[in-house]
Amino acid sequence: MTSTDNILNQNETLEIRRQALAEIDHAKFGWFHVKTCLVAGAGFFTDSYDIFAINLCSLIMGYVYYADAQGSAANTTPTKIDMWVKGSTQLGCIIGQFLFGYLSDRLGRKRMYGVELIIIIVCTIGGSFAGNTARGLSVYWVLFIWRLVLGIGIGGDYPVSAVITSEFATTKNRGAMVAAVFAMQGFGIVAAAIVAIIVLACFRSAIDSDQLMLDYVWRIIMGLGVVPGIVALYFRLTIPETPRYTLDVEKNTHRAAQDVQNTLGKLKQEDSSSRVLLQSNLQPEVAVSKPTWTEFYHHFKHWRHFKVLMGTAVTWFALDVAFYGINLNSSIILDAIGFAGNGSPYQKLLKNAGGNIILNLLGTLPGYWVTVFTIDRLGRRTIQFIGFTVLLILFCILGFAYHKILDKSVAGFVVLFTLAQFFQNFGPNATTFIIPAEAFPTRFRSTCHGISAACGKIGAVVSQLGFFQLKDRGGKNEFIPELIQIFALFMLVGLIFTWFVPETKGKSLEELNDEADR
Amino acid sequence: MSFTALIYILALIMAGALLFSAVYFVIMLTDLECDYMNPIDLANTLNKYVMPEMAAQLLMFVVFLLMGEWFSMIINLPLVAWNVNKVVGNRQFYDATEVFRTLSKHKRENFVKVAFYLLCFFYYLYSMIITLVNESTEDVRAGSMH
Repeated sequence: MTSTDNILNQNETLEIRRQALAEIDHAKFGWFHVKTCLVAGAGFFTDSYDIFAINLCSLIMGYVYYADAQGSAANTTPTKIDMWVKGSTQLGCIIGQFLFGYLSDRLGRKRMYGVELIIIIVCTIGGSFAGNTARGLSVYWVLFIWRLVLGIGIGGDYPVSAVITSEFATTKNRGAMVAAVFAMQGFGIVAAAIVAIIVLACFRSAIDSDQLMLDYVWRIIMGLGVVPGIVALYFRLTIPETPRYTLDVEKNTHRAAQDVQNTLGKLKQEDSSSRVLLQSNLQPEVAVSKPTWTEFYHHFKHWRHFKVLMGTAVTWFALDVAFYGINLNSSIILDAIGFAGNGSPYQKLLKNAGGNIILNLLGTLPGYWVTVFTIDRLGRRTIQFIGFTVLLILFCILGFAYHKILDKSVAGFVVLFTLAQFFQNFGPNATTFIIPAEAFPTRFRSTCHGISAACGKIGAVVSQLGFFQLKDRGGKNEFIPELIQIFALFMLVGLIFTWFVPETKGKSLEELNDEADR
Repeated sequence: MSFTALIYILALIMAGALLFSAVYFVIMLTDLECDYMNPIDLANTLNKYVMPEMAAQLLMFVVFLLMGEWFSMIINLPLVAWNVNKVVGNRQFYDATEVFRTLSKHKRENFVKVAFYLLCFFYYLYSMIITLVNESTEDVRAGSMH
């Protein structure tokens, strides 16, 4: 082939690439995009369903397995065991985020997608069948093992879902789509509480006559969480590879353009120009650029690239440390709105679940959806700044004037708490998830998202295992005001590190990463 | 668990399903608008769900009527009347030849349905919680038989 032929071929390749990307970026928002969000969001739905369910189920298990304990410990799971059962999923998450983040860049999004959902489904069902072994392990420890592996699946979902949604989204709506995927978490919590109420109500007479029947209740609540996951599994296993991965990492322009036609294919009546280009005989290029450690190092040894990674990782870490702190106070809030647990096991659990629904509908859920609708207009950095600033102020108020507020006006406390939940989700909780899915080049996108997410979870683990111990210094719940002050400090750190992340609103993924015409 | 609580649970699930179907209709109609779909496909897809949706809505209304849940019944009344009106005039199905002309009207109707079902969902949720909580405290005061 002459050199002119080579140049011509190269130009055609670039042209196809540009066209394929333009088709995705400028497609009108339709059922395809909604379906992408739902399928990707099913994992997050299951994740938050599960985390809420374990809180409730641990309470219920206390009634079943510690019904004979004496005195004030009766009907309560011991703190240490409780902590490990809840923390196991978080630990697994860290592993899963690193692992799946890297694998999805190395092997491709399509190959990994579905695997993590399978892990989640199997482990949830396994956990709901957990039992005592004859010697040694109590049901709690069997559950711990199941939930550790479950965590790997949940952790894996973070980078893979985020990156897939981000790469399939239109430039205009990318923020909203990735935020909508994350907002499924809000639905998961509400769904878990509703399922809990329904199951409890169904078992009511059984529970009132024999407390140990609660054993069925927690297993059913936990197991029902897999239903949306199973529906989503089919769709996950059958998605095409994201065109950007095929273009940039596998360098297979021909197949990428075909994939774009297939996914948006039902939507386009005719696209004569790209079809003509497809028909010309192009060999798929052999050179494949796999993300290796050397390339990673070469890319990130430049400060302007590294600062982005540091920004996303540290802000996520700072946020998750404080995230837990807000939930420390939920029992006080429940008390204030009249849903404190008093009375028979049935009543206590019912009120706990009902109160949690109200709590989440007030602050968390609206926060997620306000982010979905405003993020493409206000921008990620703006929302993150707003969120961290407001949280800093709220935590300072709550931390330094904790008892004064409680004594003077419990309603005021509830309002502050709800505002904190709202601005967490209309704020860093959502944006720290969205920005890493946009701000890195395709070959590292999933790895870096995984790293940032894992840093976040490390923060959550540090908070749960570490700060939880401090909570009771000087008396039960006495240290909480000081804890909140510490969290305010973390909010300040998050605020400062937000300077390092770029604003990604409105720019295509290629513009953001200087990949426009490679 | 009393029967009232049970019907609110079922109403909750039904409202969720109807909400999902109304959103699906809206998205399908916008797909038609953006030329992602042709009118014949749209009409075929949507017409499958028109009657089941009306039947579900009617069922909820009748159940509330029979159980004496007057407020819930009254808020469902306008929609039932609207549906009955459409069936009587044989206008309930989407006609592939007409759908482009009446597109904005259909979209508006479905938007209103989405908002309505959303509000209904939260109302049933609230009623269900209140019913369950009230009957659990009532029984304790009256003295449980167990």
